[in-house]
Amino acid sequence: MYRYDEYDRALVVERVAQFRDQIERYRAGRLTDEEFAPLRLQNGLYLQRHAYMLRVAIPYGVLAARQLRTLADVAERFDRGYGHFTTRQNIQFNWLALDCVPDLLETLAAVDLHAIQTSGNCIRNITCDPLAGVAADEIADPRPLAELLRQWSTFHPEFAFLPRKFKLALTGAKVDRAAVRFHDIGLRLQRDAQGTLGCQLLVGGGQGRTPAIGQVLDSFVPLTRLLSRLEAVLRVYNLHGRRDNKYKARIKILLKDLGLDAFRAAVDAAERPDAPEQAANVAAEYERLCTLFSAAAPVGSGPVPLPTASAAEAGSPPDFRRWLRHNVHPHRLPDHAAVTITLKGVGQAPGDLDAARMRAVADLVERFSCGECRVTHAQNLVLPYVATAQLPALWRALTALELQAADQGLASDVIACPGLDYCSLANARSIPLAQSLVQHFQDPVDADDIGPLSIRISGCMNACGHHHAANIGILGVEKGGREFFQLTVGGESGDGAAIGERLGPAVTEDEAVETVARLVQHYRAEREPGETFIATVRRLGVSSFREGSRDARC
Amino acid sequence: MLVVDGRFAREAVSWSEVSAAVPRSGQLIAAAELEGAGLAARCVWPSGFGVLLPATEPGAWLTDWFGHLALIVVEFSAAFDGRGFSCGGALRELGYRAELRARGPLIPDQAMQLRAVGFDAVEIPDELARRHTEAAWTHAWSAFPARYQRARGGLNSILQARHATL
Repeated sequence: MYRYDEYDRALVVERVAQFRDQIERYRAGRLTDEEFAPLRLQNGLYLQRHAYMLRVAIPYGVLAARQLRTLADVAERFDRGYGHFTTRQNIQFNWLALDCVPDLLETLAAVDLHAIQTSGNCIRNITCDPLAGVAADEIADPRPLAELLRQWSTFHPEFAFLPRKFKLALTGAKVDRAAVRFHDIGLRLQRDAQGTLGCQLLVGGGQGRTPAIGQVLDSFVPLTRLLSRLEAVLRVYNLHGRRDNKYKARIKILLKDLGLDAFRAAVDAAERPDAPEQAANVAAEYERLCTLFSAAAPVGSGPVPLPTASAAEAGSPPDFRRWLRHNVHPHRLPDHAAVTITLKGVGQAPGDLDAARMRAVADLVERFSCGECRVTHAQNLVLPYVATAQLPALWRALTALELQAADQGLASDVIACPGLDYCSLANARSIPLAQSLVQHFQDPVDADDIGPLSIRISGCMNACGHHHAANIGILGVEKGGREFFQLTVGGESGDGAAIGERLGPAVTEDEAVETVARLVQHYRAEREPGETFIATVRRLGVSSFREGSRDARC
Repeated sequence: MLVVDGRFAREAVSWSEVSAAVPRSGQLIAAAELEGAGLAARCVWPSGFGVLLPATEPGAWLTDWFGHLALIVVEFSAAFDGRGFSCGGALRELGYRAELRARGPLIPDQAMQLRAVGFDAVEIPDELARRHTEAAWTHAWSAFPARYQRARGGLNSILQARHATL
C-alpha cells in the first residue's frame, strides 16, 4: 500500500497545527460559530447530539495493521473504546471533547492518518472497490489512480468551498463494487482499442433527498487528460451549482437543470489542458504510484500452487464451508483469496468494532494479509491477501473473536447509519431496527435459502445508510414526534444500479421487521429456481411485492 | 483593510470607483460597464485602470481587456461562497498577469486557497480585521508552502519537487 513520503507527512502535520490554532481562536472568540463550523467540518469534526464526532479518512478504504492499532488506541484514549466504520469507507469516533481533538489528530498523523475533507462542502474521500488490486475480474488496479486523485483533491484551492459536498468513486474491475453510478463522479478504468488506459466518466449520481443515477459524461478519458477533465467538471459545478438551497445544491441538480449535452458543452469550454511540464509531473507521479503498489503485493507461490479453497473445504465443519462460500472471494493469484469480515454481529451496531477486537484484527491482518486490510462501503473489513492454505487457521482465529459470521451479502449483512442514537440530523433510530433484522435472519439454513439480499437503513433523507440503492431500503421518518420507517424495494448499487420504489405508507419499527419478513416470504413463494431476490423483483415488478406484503398482513 | 502578502497594507495606488466615464489609471469600473463599452473602446481607452468583477465565470470578452487592466477585484459575496476561487483561478489560466485582488468577508483560514489560485491581495471589511488580526493573516499566508496541485503564487508543487529529484 501507499506509504507517505516527507511531503505527504509535512502536509498532514501542518494541518494538525492549523486545526489546533483554529480551536484556540474559536475559544478566544476570534472565530465565530459561523466561521468555525465550516472549518471544523472540513476537518471531519461534527457537533452531534451528545458530543463531537470525528470522521477519520481511510483513503479509498485501504488500511494498514499499524493504523488499525492506532485507531484502537484513539478509541480507548479519546473515546468510549470503540469506533464505527461508515458507508463511505471511513471510521467515526462519537464521544469526543473538542479540546482533545488536536492531540487525537496528532496521534493519527503519526501513522499517516487524518480527517482532511471527510466532511464539508469539498471533495470527500474516494470510494473504491474493496477488492482493488486483488480482484480476479480487474482490468487495471485502481489504487495508483485513487492515490493520485487523493493527492489532487487534498487542499485543492479552487474546490474547498463548493456549493455542497462532492463524492468520487472509482473501480478498475468489470463488476462494479464501488457504486460508481451513485456518486457525484464515478470512474471506471478501461482500456481503449490501442490499449491506452483511461476512464469512463459518469456524473450526477447520488442519493440523499433526490436520488439519481450517474450519466455517462465521457465514454473514455485517457489518464493523461483525466485531472484537467475533472477540474473542468468541478469548475462548472463550483461556478454554476445552486447555492440558494442546500437540498438543490448537488451536481445532480445542476446536471438535471442544464441537461447532459449543455452540461458537457460547459465542461468542454472550461477544460484547459495541463502545460507539458505539469502533464509530465502527473505522469511521473502515476508511474511512481504504480511501482509502489505493485511492489507491496505478494507474488504467489509460483509453479506449485497452494491448496485451493475447495481443497481446504474437504472434511471441514459446515460453518467453515458456509464461510468459504459467502465470505471468501476469488483472487487474481490462484493460491490466494480475499476474505470479508462482516461487522454485523447480533446485538451490535453495524460497522462498530471495539478497541480490543481492532487490535486482534490488526494481528490477523499482519499474520494473514501482508499487513493490509480494506474497509468496505458495506461497513465490513476485507483481508485482501490471504493464502488459501491459511484459510482454516484464519477462520479459527476469527471464530475465537466471534467475527466468523458467514453472511457477506446475505440478509443479515445489514447496512445502517448511526441514526438518532448519535446523529443530530436523524429522524429515527437506525441501530435498534438493524439489530432486530440481523437477529431475524440469523438461521443459517434460512439465510442460505434466501441468498443475496441487501437491506439498508438510513435514519433520514440524507441517506447515509444508502437505502435508495438497497434491494430493501428503509428510511427513518418522523411524524408527530414519533419514529416511523418508509420501505422501498428494488434498489441496487452495482452494475444494475437502480433506485428503490416506495412500498407503501411508513410503518412502526416492529411493523418494519414484519414487512421485511413478508417481502422475503413473498420472494420465496414466487421465485423461479436459482433466482435472487432482486431478480424476482425485476421479473415481477415492485407492485407484486407491494401486493405480497399487503396480502400477508390480512 | 487591504492584506498584501499576509500584511495589513496601505494602497500603493489610491483606487477610486467610478462610473460611466472613460476610466483613467487608478480608477475602478464595474465589469458590466466594461463589457458594455465594447471592443471599439479598447482602441481609445487608456490602460492602467481596474475592474470590479462579481465572482462568476469570467466572460471571454474580459480576456480582450487584459492588456489594459492593472487590477481585477473579484467580489466574494460570502466567506464560504467559493465561486471566487474558480473565478480567480480561471483568470490566471486565461493569462491575466496583473494584480488580482479578492474582496469580501474572507478570513485568514482561506489564505492558502486565495494564494494558491493566484490572488495577490485581499480586501476585508474593517470589522473583520479587528477580529482576524494581522498576525493571524501573516501566519496563514505563509502556511502550506507546498501543495499537490500546479504551482502558482510562489508556492511549490509537490509533484514537481518529487520528480525533479528523480
